Amino acid sequence: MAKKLMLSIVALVGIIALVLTGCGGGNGGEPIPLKNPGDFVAQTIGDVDSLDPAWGYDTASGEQTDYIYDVLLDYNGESTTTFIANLATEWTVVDTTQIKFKIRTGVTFHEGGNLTPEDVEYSFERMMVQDRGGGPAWMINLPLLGAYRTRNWEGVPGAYVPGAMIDNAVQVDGDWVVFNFAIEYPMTQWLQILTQPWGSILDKQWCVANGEWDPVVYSLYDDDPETGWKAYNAPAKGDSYLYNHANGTGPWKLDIWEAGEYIRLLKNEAYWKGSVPFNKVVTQFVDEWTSRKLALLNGDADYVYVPRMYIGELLDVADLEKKSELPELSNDCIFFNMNIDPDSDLIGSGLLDGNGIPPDFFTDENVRKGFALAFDYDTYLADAMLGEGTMLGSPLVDPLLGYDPLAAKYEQDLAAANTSLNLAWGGNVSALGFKFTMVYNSGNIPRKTACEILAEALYSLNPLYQISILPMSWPTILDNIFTETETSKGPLPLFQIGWIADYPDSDNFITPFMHSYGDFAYYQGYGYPSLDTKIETARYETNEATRITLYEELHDIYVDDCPGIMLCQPLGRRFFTKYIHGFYFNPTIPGQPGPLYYMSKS
Amino acid sequence: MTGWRLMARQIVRNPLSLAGVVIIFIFIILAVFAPLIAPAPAGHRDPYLIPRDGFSITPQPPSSEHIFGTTQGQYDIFYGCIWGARTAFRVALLVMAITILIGIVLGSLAGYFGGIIDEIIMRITDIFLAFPALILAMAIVAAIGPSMKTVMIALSVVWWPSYARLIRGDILQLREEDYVEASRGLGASSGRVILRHVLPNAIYPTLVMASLDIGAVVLSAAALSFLGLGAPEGYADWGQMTEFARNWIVGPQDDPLKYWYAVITPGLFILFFVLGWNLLGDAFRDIFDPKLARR
Amino acid sequence: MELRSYIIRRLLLLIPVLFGVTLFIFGITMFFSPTQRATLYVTSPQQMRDLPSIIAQYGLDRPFYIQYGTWLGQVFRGNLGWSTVVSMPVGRAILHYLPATLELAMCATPIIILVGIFFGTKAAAHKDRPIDHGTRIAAILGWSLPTFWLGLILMMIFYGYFRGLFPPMRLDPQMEVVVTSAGFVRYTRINTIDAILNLNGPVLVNALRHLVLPVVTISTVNVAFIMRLMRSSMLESLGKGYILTARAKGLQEKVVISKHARRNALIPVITVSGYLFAALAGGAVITETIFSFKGIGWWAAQSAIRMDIPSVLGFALFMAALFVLVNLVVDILYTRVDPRVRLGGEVQ
Repeated sequence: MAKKLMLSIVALVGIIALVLTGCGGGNGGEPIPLKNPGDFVAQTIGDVDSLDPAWGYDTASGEQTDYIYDVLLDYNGESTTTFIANLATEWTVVDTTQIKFKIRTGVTFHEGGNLTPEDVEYSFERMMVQDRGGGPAWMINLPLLGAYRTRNWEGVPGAYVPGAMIDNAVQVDGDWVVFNFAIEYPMTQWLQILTQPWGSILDKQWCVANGEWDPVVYSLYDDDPETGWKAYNAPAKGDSYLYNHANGTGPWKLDIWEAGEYIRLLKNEAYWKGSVPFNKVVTQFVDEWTSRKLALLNGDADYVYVPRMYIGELLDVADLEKKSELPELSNDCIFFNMNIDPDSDLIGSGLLDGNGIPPDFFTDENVRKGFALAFDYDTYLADAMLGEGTMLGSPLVDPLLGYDPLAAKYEQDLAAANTSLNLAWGGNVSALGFKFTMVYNSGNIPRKTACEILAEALYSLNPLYQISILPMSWPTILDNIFTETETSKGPLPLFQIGWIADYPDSDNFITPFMHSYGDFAYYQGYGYPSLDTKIETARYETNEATRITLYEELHDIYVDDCPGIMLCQPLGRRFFTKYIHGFYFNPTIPGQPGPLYYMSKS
Repeated sequence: MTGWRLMARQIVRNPLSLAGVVIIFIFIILAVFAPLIAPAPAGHRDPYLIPRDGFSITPQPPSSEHIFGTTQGQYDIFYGCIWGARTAFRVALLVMAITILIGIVLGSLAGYFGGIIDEIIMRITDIFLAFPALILAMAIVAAIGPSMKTVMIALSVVWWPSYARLIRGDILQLREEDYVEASRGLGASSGRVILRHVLPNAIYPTLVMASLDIGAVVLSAAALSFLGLGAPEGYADWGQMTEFARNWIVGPQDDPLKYWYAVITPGLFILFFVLGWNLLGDAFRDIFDPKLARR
Repeated sequence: MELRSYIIRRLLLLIPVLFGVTLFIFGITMFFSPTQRATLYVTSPQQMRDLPSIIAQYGLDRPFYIQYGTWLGQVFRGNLGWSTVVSMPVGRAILHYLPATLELAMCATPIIILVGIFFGTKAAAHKDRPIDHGTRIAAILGWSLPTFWLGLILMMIFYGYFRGLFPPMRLDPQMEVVVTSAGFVRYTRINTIDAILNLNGPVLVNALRHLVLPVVTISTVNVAFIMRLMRSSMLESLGKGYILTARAKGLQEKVVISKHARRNALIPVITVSGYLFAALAGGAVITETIFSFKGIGWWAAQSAIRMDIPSVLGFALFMAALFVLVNLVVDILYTRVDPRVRLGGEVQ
């Protein structure tokens, strides 16, 4: 009996195997079929954080917000410096602290309401009122209120910005919306901020009707934390109706968002700009690369997110539309900590005795330059970035003002590195050597590679130069970078982290790296008053030619001071099936698939 | 109770358990002679870190330089597999040692003294057993920070309850035996009774369970490394090497099985290592007590 | 002992277990500094500026007992907190991801048990003959296979070679649209059952195709265990007195095995099945991760990796409750199957 069963199983398996071999052999450049005509299906990693434009600060949220909502003005095609009208038909800079926008008429929201200037006023006031911790509202707060946050106002714990200031910051004047700045703020940057998803325009009546902040009931002039506007300040994510509901004026409207699975949008038949190219926009969240790859090759997805290390697998596929060398607005850098916490475990003995490094080891310029000259940039670019990047000399990236691909930057020069290190600390470095530990966030192979390249290069100069490499979880690294004691900064001698642009202005990149209160420079112990002044001058300079010169000078200062080993600006790629047309690249577009409204499928 | 000689003879007679012993022996050889079989290149500081031949991402097929090929990031698979045997033994033996030790101590206390001590210890084991082992281990590793050391701690924390329970059960049984009563009657202290009489007899079921569990421990450690919660990248650990292969299971369109060597080889090592211990453990189980087959 | 009071007593014991589990997990989180825990909510360096306000908002720097107490208070009010990794309340996350895992467990458990019982019985009945040895080797091999490796190999074969036959995730995109459209009622969110209830053939076939690889992966490893268990259990009951009597009476061997030996041999298998189901329900973590079959195991794993404390705690509560319940059901079943066992007593 058992024997019979065995035999029949074997036979069955054999038949199945024969049948299967017949179909889907998986060989040759198989054509990709056109599926889901009229729809756009994308697969990417992660998930939307929140559909509330005032909350979302991540790429996935921004992408969907971009499809659902409209902003006041847009960039013109591929340009990052010229703007075109969107929901605002025109704008006028009144003076250095006031700018007004004329609001378009005849635009309707998905749920039926009409766009009015009051909606615009509400959208921005609401953002200031909500001001969630860790959110993008600081970009609105800073010009309009003069501070990053509405809480801990003027340094007083528990104090809030006066509601009247919020009211005054945005006003309606007939068809116009007027923004009143609390400080003198560069207008170009303000315009750039408005083009991003956090500048999305909401329908005031609909929001209020669905439980969002009501300026009448929870007045800005009521200071009571329960009955006034403060009741809506810093809410929990799930408390906001807009977290998973949406009503915008954009080309697509929200159909369903299955958290962690997918989000589906439907065509807005009454879109004010005209016909919408896709009936449905579906974004699926798939973390496994293999699954995404198969979806793309089977035509089940029109676009998938391809991590850099796997682009090689798709380069030979004929039926794909491949875009490459797209300069992304981000960079990466190895920072020198010039005021290491003496209690750190990573500096060995804590003395310049060959068994460690002293906390001020990197204050000697010769050390920094020695490291920067020893690093093998070519290998890094070729192996960690697979050649898909541009090496940088300073934080400025392409196409920012002041960026010059031919400007000075470090190249590997082992002889010069040796000379520099021989001079360091009066010759003690080369004589006694050093030992410390360098960290990278576990799982991040390019960063690990950078550590290994540096360690090997220095070791090859002198076997007394010993760097160990330690993986650390990302939360621990963040904790160790952004920390300080009474007298020192964090415990990491070197740390690697990158900047991703909020808006494409040179100041957004220079300040974090070079200003003494910059997000990175502060935690390195870098920055000094004359440099701060120069940065601030450049920030507010209105004459473009002068500005370019200033940023070029700042670039040279960075190279000269060498506060970090600048790595590279990544060059991105996009992979679509050949049926998708119309993609163009603008680094400010929130979504990876690009300007979807201007694309099509056939 | 069987004498060690009798047990050895039974093992050798049974072809399956003999196979198990041979497999384990081969791995012992690999582990002990790792520096000779897969020597680290000159100047390489930590032998447990697999040497890299360059930095490029794409795995390379087996060649004269790299017998088993290289993984993503150009780590030598052969080196990793051989030294991985050392890692596997380290993890397995350390975790089992700690687990059995804790299990013996707590199990003995619970079994011998009974009463409230027993209740408390049993409730604690209940708590640990009520939670899926892998998730608990993941939470512990994520909290402390991934590394081989943390993996061993996490696995010990997860594993000890079963041993405590087992030993407690055996002690409960043996407690009533005559010679124990006699010993106590003669005035021997509790500790002495436990050590000299109760424990030696309780050892055998523990051995059985331990030999069966070593395989499970190695599998769990490999699973943790596979999820990125164990050995750091480039460490000579089989699970970690399989993690490297995770995104290369489907090659380019015209050659989908191109990177088979990165996927199959480390997994085979895990399979055979665990298989050896399971064969041995299965034999132990049959030898010592057929009734123990029910767990 | 009366059934009702027994059940009540067992359920009451659930409470200290729940306390213990959650307290332990909470204790683990205290290894993390408030800053490290705050980074769960941070995606870019710009946000690090806001760390103090994030820490204050989520109360991450308050003493351990206050944080635990706050959490407990919320739980009693029915609020299990917010699961950051999947952007929804914890309670909803559990209900949301449970169907996928249940679907896996429901498909795998019958296969595991039936195949295991079948081969285990055969092996016991033909002890020391080829089929016994064959079963034993297969079982030990299956037991030694790393789940993730098996999954990877299956993917290698069925994704690379036979493209599209057994795809990842739960459904094809087109089927997702069908399932979420107005004409389809999602009674259980278990796609196979819903498809049957909605009399929708294409969805059923599609769901089954996506289930094949994950189910095969889980089953292979666990079948081995049941096989061996059934075998030894059968051997033991075959050696019992009443079997000899039955044989002496001249009953056919087949009847002896199927009617008498098997029923008693099933007792330990019932116990194990209970644990098996609970274990599967609690986390086919590796399988779900590899095949992007997002169930509760996947969710728990993501939460553990990213230290999303409310999620991990919610999962802990759920699993502990499930475990105790399964134990209870198994013990009651015992009394039905084995008349020698009384509620609350020890099994011989």
